[in-house]
Amino acid sequence: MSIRKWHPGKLIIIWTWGGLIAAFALNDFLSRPVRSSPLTHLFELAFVVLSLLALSGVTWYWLGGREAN
Amino acid sequence: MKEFFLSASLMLTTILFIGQVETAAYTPVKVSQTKQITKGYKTYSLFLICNPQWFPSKWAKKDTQLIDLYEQFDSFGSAIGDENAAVWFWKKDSDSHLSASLARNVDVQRSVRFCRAWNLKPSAGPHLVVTSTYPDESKLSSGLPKDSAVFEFGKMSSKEISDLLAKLADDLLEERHVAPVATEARSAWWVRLLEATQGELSSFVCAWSFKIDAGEVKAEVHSCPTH
Repeated sequence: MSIRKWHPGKLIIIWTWGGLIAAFALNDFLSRPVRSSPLTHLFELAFVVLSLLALSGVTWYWLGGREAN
Repeated sequence: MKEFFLSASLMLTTILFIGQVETAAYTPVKVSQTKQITKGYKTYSLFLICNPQWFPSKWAKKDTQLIDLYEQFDSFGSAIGDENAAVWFWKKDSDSHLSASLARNVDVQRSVRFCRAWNLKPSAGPHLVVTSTYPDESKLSSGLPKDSAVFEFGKMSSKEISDLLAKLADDLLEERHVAPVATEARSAWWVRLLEATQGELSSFVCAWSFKIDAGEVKAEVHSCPTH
């Protein structure tokens, strides 16, 4: 029988660091007008979205799944 | 004889000193309610404040935003020399404008007349209009003079305003053409999309606040600064 298992410790570590970095990038994105440096803003937004997607991917494929009991 | 040379050299030093002070002290043109803008300058840089958001509420201790802008204007006015005028409208003459009453002394009505006649959007202001044509207030209805450049400071940070004024001062002193910018120029679609995203995210992120009320310990955390 296989059951879904998660690795809570790893989840907390990866989401804490990932979330912190994404939050800094998002804060910088929101704190200055876009026209002051549009390209920087574009990279920051892309970084926030991609890093959250990457964290979700890592969580789904490596930190959880069906394992034989 | 010795006394004569001594007094003569003292007089000469005094004259030279006064001369230096007079040539070094370029001051911006501050036009009070009863005065007209003086003619005869090469260019006129008009600071127009029509945006009510730049005026603090009556409870605010100090209008720091406006004082900051005024200080930058003052430096800009000094930097562009005595052939170019930097005009700021006052209700009455005052020795010190850097006080809590600064906002009360700004002649908003006069700025509004300019903004209305030249179709300047108040929300995008304060504006800086640089023109080589004398801004005749009796002929405002004829619109923005030719060879004018309009700059909008509404969405700019203090640092950005400072940088822009420094560049403008260079252009005016070196008699370069001042480009009629552009701050409101239509930007690329992806920049507008980014701006829209930023606006939506800001309103979403700023919507929450966290409040603790445990007897004597009280705290309130806002996700965005409150004004």
